[in-house]
Amino acid sequence: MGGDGLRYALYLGCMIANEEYAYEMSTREIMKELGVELVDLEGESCCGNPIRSLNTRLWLYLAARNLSLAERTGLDVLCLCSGCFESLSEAKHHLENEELKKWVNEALSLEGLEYKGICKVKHLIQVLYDDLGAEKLRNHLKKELKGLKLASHPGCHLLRPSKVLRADDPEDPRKLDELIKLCGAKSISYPEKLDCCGAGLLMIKPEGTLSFAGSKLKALAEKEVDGLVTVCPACHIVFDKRQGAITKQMGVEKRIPTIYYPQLLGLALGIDFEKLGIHLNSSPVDQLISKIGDSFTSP
Amino acid sequence: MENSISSSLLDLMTLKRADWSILKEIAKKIGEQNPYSCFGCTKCTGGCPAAEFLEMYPHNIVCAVREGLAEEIVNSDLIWRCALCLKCKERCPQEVAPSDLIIALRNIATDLGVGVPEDLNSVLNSIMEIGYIHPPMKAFSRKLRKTFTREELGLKVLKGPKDIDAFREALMAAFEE
Repeated sequence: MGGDGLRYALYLGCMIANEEYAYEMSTREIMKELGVELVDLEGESCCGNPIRSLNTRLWLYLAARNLSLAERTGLDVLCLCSGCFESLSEAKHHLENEELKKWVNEALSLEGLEYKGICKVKHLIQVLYDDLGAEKLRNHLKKELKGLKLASHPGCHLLRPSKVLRADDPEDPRKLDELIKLCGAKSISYPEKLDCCGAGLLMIKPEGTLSFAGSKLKALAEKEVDGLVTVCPACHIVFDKRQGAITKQMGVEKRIPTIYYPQLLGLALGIDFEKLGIHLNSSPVDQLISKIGDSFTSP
Repeated sequence: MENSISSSLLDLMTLKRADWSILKEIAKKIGEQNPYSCFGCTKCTGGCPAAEFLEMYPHNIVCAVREGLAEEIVNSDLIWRCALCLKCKERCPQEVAPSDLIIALRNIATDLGVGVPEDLNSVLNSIMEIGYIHPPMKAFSRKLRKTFTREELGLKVLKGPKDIDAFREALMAAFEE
């Protein structure tokens, strides 16, 4: 069963391209299974988000150059990173201003590029929930992840600013939860759901990240969840890779398995663990996997 | 605006004269910052996850900037405590975009070379060098006690911008406006 000929230009961004490989691996695997074609963006670079604080023009240039690379493919851009998604979407919004567009195109011409403003920017959640849809996804499921009680972490930059992103309800997001439920797992409702992971402070005030993420993990530890589901490499790095250090500092004993949504969906699609990069998660995902009656063996 | 009461009171208390030139610089930065529309409802502060680390709440920052006291804020550590979660921008009924204002103030701090976190500068250097915030790292598997490169995981090797010199030249042109 195909994905109705759905094709996207895949934009990775810094964190996925150079560090969070499991997110890319699992996304490629599920898309292959779902019949969605991903076209790589040759020559992509940083989306500009991390240096927006230094200089907004440098940010806008970097975002525009990646958008113009995507335009060459004639496809909409698929972002896996919510930071990149917000950055490219907001850049597109600002480039509706003719003066800024003219300015950016003068700089882009030095790289032989041109920004037209013709492609849409989409997040993985939108592609799965809106473009493919629950019904189509359901047809591909091979295994029901029954008995799993999960918490979703939609993350800030998937939702805000909603008037530009239009990805989900900014105060009551449901798409990620619906996608989790589709796999047969339960998605709990919890007051800290919208709380920020603090990754935005990693490079400027790491102790702030510790406090943001720590309080969310502490709250989750009291809720008896089997795992936390992420859709952004920045959030994931904080909750997965840094979880040990953060919870140690906060005096929290319980560890929360943290898993990318496409890894979770991949399990429900019956894809091998190693293809989903499950062995690269730092949090104790084996706990989550043993709960669904599987054991994670080394590839 | 320049005769507003709060401004002159603050001037008297601190003997500091309001500086309006920074406001013009703030307006030039790309973003939707508009401190003039704030009516002080404090919704931004109510939702701010960083508020507990701030000596001055988001609505106070907006107010101080509007009253011509941006220089103090630019020179303080305050602007570097925001995680840019964008709740304030989302919830502001007046579309003041406090988070964009913070970004504009950080830009000005950068222009003046004050208080810029070192890591951000190295990120910029890396982007100039290879197009990404850092070079490819090996992924570590805690489970297997082994590291993996992109290739070893079956992923394509990425090359970044095709013509790095043209990329740098374009970035410089964008920087110089």
